[in-house]
Amino acid sequence: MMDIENAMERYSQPGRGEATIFIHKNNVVRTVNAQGVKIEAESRDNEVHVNITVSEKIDKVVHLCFAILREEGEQRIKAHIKMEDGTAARFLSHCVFPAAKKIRHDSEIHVEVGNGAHFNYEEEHIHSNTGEIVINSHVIARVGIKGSFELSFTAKKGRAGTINAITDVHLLTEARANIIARIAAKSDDAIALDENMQLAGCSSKGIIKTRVVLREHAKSVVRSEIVGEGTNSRGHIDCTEILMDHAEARAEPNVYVKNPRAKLTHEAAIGRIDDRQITTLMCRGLSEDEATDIIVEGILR
Amino acid sequence: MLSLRDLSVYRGDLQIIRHITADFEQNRVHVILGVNGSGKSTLAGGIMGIYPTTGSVKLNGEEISRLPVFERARRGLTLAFQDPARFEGLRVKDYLLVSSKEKKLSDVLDAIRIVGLSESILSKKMDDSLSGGERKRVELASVLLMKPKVVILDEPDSGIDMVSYHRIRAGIEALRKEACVLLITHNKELVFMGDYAYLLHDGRIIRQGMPGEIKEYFEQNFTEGVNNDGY
Ligand SMILES: Nc1ncnc2c1ncn2[C@@H]1O[C@H](COP(=O)(O)OP(=O)(O)O)[C@@H](O)[C@H]1O
Ligand SMILES: [Mg+2]
Repeated sequence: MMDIENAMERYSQPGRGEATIFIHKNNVVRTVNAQGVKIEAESRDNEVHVNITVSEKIDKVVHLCFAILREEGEQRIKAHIKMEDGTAARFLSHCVFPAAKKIRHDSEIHVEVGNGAHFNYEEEHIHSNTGEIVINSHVIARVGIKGSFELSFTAKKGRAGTINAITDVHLLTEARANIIARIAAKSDDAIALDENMQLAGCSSKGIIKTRVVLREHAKSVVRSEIVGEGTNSRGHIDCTEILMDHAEARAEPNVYVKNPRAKLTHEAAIGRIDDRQITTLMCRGLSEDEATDIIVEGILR
Repeated sequence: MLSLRDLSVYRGDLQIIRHITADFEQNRVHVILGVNGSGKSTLAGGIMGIYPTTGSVKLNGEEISRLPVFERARRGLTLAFQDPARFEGLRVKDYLLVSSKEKKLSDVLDAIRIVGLSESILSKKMDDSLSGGERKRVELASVLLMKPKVVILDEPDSGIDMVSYHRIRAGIEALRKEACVLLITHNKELVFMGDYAYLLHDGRIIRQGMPGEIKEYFEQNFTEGVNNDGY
């Protein structure tokens, strides 16, 4: 177990006094509580149940690491994160499958963001370059009055695999939400994103941003929907997908306005890299491949 | 330095530049003046290898007309675009570092100083967060950093304010010290930045000579019914 713990530490790099939870397969390897953060975790019925409660504004990061360091394995996570009123916390979540040949990771995370609370969750995936990786992720969040919710999902190291990610965010009065996904897919990776935001409260605001770069035979379907119910609610969907080789992508940005005083906008662009960008960098001495890498890196930043 | 022999440049099936022959020398600024649509950007792109050409392009005696764009750039030829591309996520610093021959931050700082930009520009993104004048000056800084032998500046003064104009002028002077400069413009006031000038019309060089001479000829033949923006 010690070598697993050390390896997870290298990926996650928690600092001193930072709340931490490490889960390998369906085993809880380590939990560390910190001032203002209480973490409970228990493994039962081939699932890990995690409860995190944040009871004050914390400056330090909360580290989550979900790993399978072996070639094969399954992991099921059910988490509840409760941000009490007026609290704030930033979570760094590492999903680490570096040796994956046949791996499945399912997670369901319920987030309750209290009134005036600020929740920031960054999930980074580190996968192997080959093998079969299936990620099923569902995030369900409710954001209280004047609360904020930031979610970023990044999978650009190794192959993405099969990703099914669903996000449902419900916003109350003057709440804010920002969700962004950045994914680099290749080979026969299949990406399905289903992002939903309900601007229920007055003057609530939300943005759904998606950046996907697909190479070889990778495919993606990105469905994003914002529902504008609250008076003066504002929402925007911004989806860019870059296609190379034989990749395919489908984007479905939906805006559903239920209140004449709500305003929702969307933009979606799918296509190959702009020739002018490539030409510009070639005029600076970069080959086409070098130029492509730099442009893609920028889009996924 | 740069020699063109019977150079024609095509856009699609259309021959836009027709049979141009000219020699451009080191440490000199050569102004290529022409109204909008006369073929200036097409000529620039043809020399750089962006559009198909027939005829010969030689850089320091080496035939480069069959080389891809980046190979020409690696041999010391470059182009500053009239309307520089926008890049999402790419920071000015990254763009200037990839342009830089030595990949040194100190060189990047020198270049932005020459074009009158402050260090804070480096962390900005190369998207719509740059103003038109900033974008043009970043473009000029990037060609300065390449330490080119031959540089083509396509309308470096278009769409910018007076402050940017003076800075761009400083950039051109810095380039002249090391390189052969082709300064492309529709603005007749810019001919005096040059040592020698060419008048491009309908894809052909119809006249060449000292800047004053070319400006006078241009005024007499091209300014009637055409405003200073060349429209
Ligand atoms: N993509 C294109 N396909 C065909 N013709 C083009 C294309 N772009 C420009 N042209 C034509 O080439 C001519 C020269 O254009 P350009 O080189 O941009 O002129 P300038 O830079 O002097 O304004 C114009 O007549 C223009 O209509
Ligand atoms: Mg032009």
